[in-house]
Amino acid sequence: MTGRLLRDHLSLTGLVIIILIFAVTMAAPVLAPHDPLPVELSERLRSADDQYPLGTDPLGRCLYSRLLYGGRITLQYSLSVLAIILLIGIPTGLLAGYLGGMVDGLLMRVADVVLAFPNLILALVVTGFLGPGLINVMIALAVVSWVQYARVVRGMVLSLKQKEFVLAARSAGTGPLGIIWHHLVPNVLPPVVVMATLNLGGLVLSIATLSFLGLGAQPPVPEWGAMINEARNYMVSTPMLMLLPGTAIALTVLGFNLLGDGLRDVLDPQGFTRPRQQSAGSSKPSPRLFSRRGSQ
Amino acid sequence: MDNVHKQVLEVKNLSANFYTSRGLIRAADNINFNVGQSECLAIIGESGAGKSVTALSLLRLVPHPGRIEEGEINLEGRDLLQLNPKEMRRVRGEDLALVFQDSLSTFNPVRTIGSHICETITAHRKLSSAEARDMARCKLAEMGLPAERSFRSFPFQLSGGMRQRAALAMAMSLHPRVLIADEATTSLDVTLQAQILHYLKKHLQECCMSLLFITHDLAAAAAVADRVAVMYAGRIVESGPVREVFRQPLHPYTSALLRSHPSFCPGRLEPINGSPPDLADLSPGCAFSPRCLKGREICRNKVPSLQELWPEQQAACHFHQARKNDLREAAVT
Amino acid sequence: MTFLRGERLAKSYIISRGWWQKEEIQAVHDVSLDLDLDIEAGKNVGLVGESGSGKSTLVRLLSRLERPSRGCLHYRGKEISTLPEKQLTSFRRQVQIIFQDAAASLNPRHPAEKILAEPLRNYFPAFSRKERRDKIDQVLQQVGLSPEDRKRYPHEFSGGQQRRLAIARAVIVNPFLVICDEATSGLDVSLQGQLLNLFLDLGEKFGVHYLLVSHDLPAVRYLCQRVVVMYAGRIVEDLPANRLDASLHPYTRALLKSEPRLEGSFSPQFLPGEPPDSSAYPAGCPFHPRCPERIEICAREQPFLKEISARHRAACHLAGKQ
Repeated sequence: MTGRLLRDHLSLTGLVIIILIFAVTMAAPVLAPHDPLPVELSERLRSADDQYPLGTDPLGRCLYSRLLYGGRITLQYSLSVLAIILLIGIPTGLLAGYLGGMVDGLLMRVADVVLAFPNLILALVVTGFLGPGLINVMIALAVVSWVQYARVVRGMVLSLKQKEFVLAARSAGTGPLGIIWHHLVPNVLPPVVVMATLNLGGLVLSIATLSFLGLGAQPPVPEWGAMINEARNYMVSTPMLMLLPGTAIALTVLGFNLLGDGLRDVLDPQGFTRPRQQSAGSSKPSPRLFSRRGSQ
Repeated sequence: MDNVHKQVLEVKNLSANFYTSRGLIRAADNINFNVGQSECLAIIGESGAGKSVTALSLLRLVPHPGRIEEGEINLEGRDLLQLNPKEMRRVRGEDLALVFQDSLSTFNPVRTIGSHICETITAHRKLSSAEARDMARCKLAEMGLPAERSFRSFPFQLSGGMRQRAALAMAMSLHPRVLIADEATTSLDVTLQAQILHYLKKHLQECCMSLLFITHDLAAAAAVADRVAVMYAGRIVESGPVREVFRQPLHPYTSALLRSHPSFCPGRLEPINGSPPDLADLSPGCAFSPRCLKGREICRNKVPSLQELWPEQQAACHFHQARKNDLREAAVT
Repeated sequence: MTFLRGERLAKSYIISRGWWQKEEIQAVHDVSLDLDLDIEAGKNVGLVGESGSGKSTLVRLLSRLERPSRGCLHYRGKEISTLPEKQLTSFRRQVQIIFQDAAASLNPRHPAEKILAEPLRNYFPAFSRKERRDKIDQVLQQVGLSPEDRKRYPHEFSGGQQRRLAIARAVIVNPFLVICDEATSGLDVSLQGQLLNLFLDLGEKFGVHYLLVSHDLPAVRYLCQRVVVMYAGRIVEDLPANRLDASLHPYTRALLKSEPRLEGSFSPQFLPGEPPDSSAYPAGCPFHPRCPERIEICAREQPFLKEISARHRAACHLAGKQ
């Protein structure tokens, strides 16, 4: 499985980008030559040299160090939001799908209401209501995004529930929890992982966007979106201030998207839930011939 | 059985190969058969034996990465493999029609049965749409369907049996010379299968049509066919008149197949062990030798050729002479 | 004591068509069936019927995978149709099911070992890891797989092997009754033969009895001593397999005549019309619109399943009168 992922050039590129960005940002305390926070007005807007690898910003802070620390915050918060979303979304979807009836109706109507608003706008409203700050942005994003996961998981559970292996598990004496845990979850997770990976790029972008709008990270905390915001006035004179965090965001999003696409091919739910069949009746021109083509 | 059949379809040395990443697959290897007028030839065999590829080869519809390598397909004296694509398109539907197992995917779900049949008719015949509609209704009625209702129905509104009959009506709307039924009755209930077999047999006589009945269901083949060809691993291993083949099979595979089926084996079944061979990795000799109880040295090294043992009955086995003697002795005693 | 007895079992489903319209579909009607499963009544029972005859629903009721809308289900004399799942453990172990689509009945993400361990863990919690492992190896061999197959995933098995694995899962808990829902339909001849023989062998070795649900009469005749025929959600005839030729219900006879044969010229009895729609069964005998022998009463009155002779029941107004 991992072999197939590594053989695909694009997803390999994505994986390398992600690993690099993670490594570099997590190692920020070691790699960064300066503290990203203290203001040193005498050093403002310096160009790159030995002391400041990428120069300094209008407040005299090392741009390189701020980029590294900023990436840390962006990634940390994106991952936390994702974790919250998954923790809410997957169980909700599992419950709604498995129990059906009233529970399903209620949860899905809530989901419908949330889905009725554009994501970012709703997040803006929620942050506006809670007040600016990274934690609030996190909550806002979680509130608006869990719904997609709940919906997708519910849909998958509804179809899996009809599958005969679930009936067979009941006949094998497995209780509802065992069925959910051993039979539904393992079949639901791979597509969700793909979705989550593709979604992470979007979350990075959302956090950056909200910070850019001044709702997320508050100065002097370095965060890529906030850094772009701070650089607005110097767009023409010192374009690097804006280009560097912008590129960092773009690269991260690209990395996650490439990786997600690769994962989708590898974890292809069709490939797992519908293994090749060799029953006689369905020999439309001999399915075995074609399965061979794919399984190189 | 009528021996003076005029030959309608003659297939000579037909081979179709698939070029896959796992190597060359001879899905149909040196296939020879012919079908006479109003005659039904059943091709029987297990999945992966090359039955469907043979059927698709006749229509020159072998899917990628397959290719017809060589051979001749003579339909009333014309070699189909020499036709240009445009001529071939005319042949499909008009001279050779195909019915699949899954009638739900034969029809476009958003169009009515009637519009499908009319389209087939007007594509080949210069008829007004009113005439085409009448003809379509007439064909549906011939299949024992309520003409008006089924004409206006969407595919999902008909039951499986009715849909399969509608598919047959469509295939026969242009009076093809040869109808190829690829597992056309396989997934149906017995009474519906009986109904369809009945209609098929009726049409063979009435319309001077020939039928190539491809199936893995031995009983259905026995009921509808005049002659059978048994395929194994891409080759025809036995062919002959249906009674003779089922009563005194000459090839060990055929007799083993019959001993696997509760309709033909009176006592405890003696099914063939193992599973069909991997076509990409065939042994150099007789493909059946690994599962054959009589397998000897020669079977593993040399491919037996198809030889006529009784009039009209052929088998490809190194030990057919011995088998023939056995049968003869049995007949004497 | 009767092993399993359904008494006037009925199941209907409500299907909503649009917002307000609801339609009731009667899948099974008042089915009474004793599964004695002794030598005399027949160890293996075949349940025959065409698609839409309600046999799959009946199987789900008999195995208590679904609760009946009406009627009772007695397991060794105890009414179980409303018992909660927790009290069904013994019943669940004794009645195992093999589904038609073996591939779909195996969790694609569990290796063979885990698939077989699941019922063992649930029904024999006292087994040690070693005992479980030995049992799995033993059963794998008995169904014609090898202990090396333990680590393989369902998609790595061929279609025939998947079926063997599904059979292994059913027999590993020493059930009394195994319900095979079209377990041999649509298969290649040699594989079907192999499985039928495997059923017979396992039946002898483990004392397993079968309820073979199928539309394949030759297979039913091969494996079963008793045949139950269903039509339109009801049992229309119930008779010993060796007396099939003396069947009384016109539908059973039509089924027998529809079976393609080599001997003699094949002229299937023609059943006009289509099987009835389960949302609107005809009044009177549900078979009367297609019945070649119908008389005037058939359109008015529903015939009940009545005893014709020992172990032979039929639901036809004409049965027993000629």
